[in-house]
Amino acid sequence: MRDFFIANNISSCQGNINYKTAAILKRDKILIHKTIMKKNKYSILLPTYNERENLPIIIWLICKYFDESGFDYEVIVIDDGSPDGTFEVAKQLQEIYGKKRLVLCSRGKKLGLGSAYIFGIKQASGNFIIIMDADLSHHPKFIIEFIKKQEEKDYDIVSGTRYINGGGVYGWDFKRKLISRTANYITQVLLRPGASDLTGSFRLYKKEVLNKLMEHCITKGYVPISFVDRVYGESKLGGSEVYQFVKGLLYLFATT
Amino acid sequence: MIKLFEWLFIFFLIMGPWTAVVTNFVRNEFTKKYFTVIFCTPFVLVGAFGIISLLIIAYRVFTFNDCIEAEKELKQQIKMAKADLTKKGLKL
Ligand SMILES: Nc1nc2c(ncn2[C@@H]2O[C@H](COP(=O)(O)OP(=O)(O)O)[C@@H](O)[C@H]2O)c(=O)[nH]1
Ligand SMILES: [Mg+2]
Repeated sequence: MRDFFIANNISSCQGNINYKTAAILKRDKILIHKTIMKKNKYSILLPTYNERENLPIIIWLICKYFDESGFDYEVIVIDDGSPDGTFEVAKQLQEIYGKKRLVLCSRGKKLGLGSAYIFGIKQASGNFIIIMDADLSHHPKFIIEFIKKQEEKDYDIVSGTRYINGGGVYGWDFKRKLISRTANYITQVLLRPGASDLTGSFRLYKKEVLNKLMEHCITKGYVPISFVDRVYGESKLGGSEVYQFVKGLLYLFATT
Repeated sequence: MIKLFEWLFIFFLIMGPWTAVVTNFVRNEFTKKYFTVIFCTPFVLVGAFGIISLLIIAYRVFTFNDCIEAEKELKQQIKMAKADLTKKGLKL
């Protein structure tokens, strides 16, 4: 009878101990999880050229969505000496949001979008890079979706796409839709790239992946985005754009 | 040159035998009996591909999602942003 009691006590004790370790483990896991979450930082690159009207709004929206989500972030504005005074507005915004949240780079003259990104990456302190247009055609609310998508399967790249269910555009007339769809179709058929929106520029990258740019074996996630055409300022889609597209397409066709 | 070669490969795979038949380089009972069918095949393929492509593109153009809601939301947020930033001291 006594033996039975002791045995019983021990087992219940063991039960307790096991339970406690389990609890501690669980708590540690949550803690570890939290520290990992904390370590991620997202650098948003905003190249601007004459975006004086759009810049305050896009930054306000980015900060709003990030502050709500709790992810760590910084916004990097790369301005190419916009004659409309975009940089002056950016400085005012920096006073409101602080130098840690808002990093400003100014280059003397218009050097192009591509080099603006390269320049911006060098300033970025985050381990993830998000590239987007500053003209409000890319809504910041999708960034949070990109991040969640990225975490789902630890994707290297998450790309916004206007072409799958849930994505879309606003303010495009028939002609522009036709051009967009045709270009997209031809690209898909000729190159079969396995990417549904090659010409869009709303993406999230792991920084090291972006640095190794264009290497093979990259996993991609997709988030459908709505694309509201710029409200302020103007875009350039003309004959030269089409020519550039065909040239680029043929180049990729012959080289990949 | 991978993608280009892929397309060239398919092209020659079909056009090689076709040329052989059309130029009477290869002749047998089968090619005699189905000469017109064989002759027409590449044209039909190209035509069908073209028509299907046009239909797909047309379908996609007409079903291109118009994000009216997204635009409304944005317009509203622009107003909110402007009001908030002016309050924080931004001179627009
Ligand atoms: N820094 C910098 N930004 C640019 C330049 N050209 C365009 N941008 C920015 O890149 C984004 C996309 O430009 P946009 O004219 O809207 O191109 P689209 O959307 O392809 O028609 C916008 O945020 C522009 O302000 C440039 O030469 N330098
Ligand atoms: Mg744009």
